[in-house]
Amino acid sequence: MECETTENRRKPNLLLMGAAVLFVALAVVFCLLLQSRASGAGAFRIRFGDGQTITVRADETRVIVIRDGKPAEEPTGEGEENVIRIENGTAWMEHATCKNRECVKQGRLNADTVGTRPLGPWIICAPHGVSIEYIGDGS
Amino acid sequence: MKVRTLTKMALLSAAALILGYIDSLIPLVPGVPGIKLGLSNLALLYAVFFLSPFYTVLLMLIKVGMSSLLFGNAVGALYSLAGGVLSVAIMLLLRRNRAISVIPVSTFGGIFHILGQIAVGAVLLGVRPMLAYAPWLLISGLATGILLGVCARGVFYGLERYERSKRA
Repeated sequence: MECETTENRRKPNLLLMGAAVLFVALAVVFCLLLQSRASGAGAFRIRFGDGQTITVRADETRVIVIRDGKPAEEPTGEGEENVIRIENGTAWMEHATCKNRECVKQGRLNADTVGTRPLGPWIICAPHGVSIEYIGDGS
Repeated sequence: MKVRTLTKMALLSAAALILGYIDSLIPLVPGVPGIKLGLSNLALLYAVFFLSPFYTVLLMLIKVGMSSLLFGNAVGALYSLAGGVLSVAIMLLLRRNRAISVIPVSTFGGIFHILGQIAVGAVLLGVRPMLAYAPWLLISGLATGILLGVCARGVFYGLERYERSKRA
């Protein structure tokens, strides 16, 4: 009788754990299948905090300053600011005023690193809503 | 609110804040922001199992509000709130079945916390970056949920033994 009770208690727990693992596995496969694959000489798509995007060719040399979600002229280190540098086919977050500066730590993005970075073709600053995407030849 | 409950809430809020701060100092996966152990959810798990749903939701709101005021910002609060609401909802729902133990409750709490954050990220950043981000977050939510569940089981067992020894 006691074994039956233990078994009855264990069954829903095991079923739930199985469901959790299955759900995560399916969601991961779904995300991986839908992810974009960048290839070609390269361009970067920059998304500002206000939702507007611009595309910059990878062979350009540019510094893009974003403050409070909008493009700005010069970095001041005030407000919600990100400074993106694009040089020699590589883009990186040079400076950001977000708390942990996780986007700055995400390193450099180019055709060589896109396959080895944890976030693939993306540099993301979640607190400021800013992202850089390597879009290969623009497809 | 009884003095006993008030004291418990104050202690749990303080524990959640301290654990949340410690959590923010431990980077789990370099290059992937936002992946944390979720240590402060231990306090929420305690509330789910030993306090009423009202106090659990109140503790979650205190945790989100205070940690955003002290260590975060408004956008961070939005991510935490979405994650907190979904995780507390699923944990309370699962807890209604008394046969379900702390490990599955914690696991689902971890996964739903991540799902809430992914939803906010999809709104603020767009769906496509979240597709790259989500696999890391979901796997970490599952792993940390299981880990915290195991820790919580140990803590609850210890508390139960302490209560029993006090009564004896």
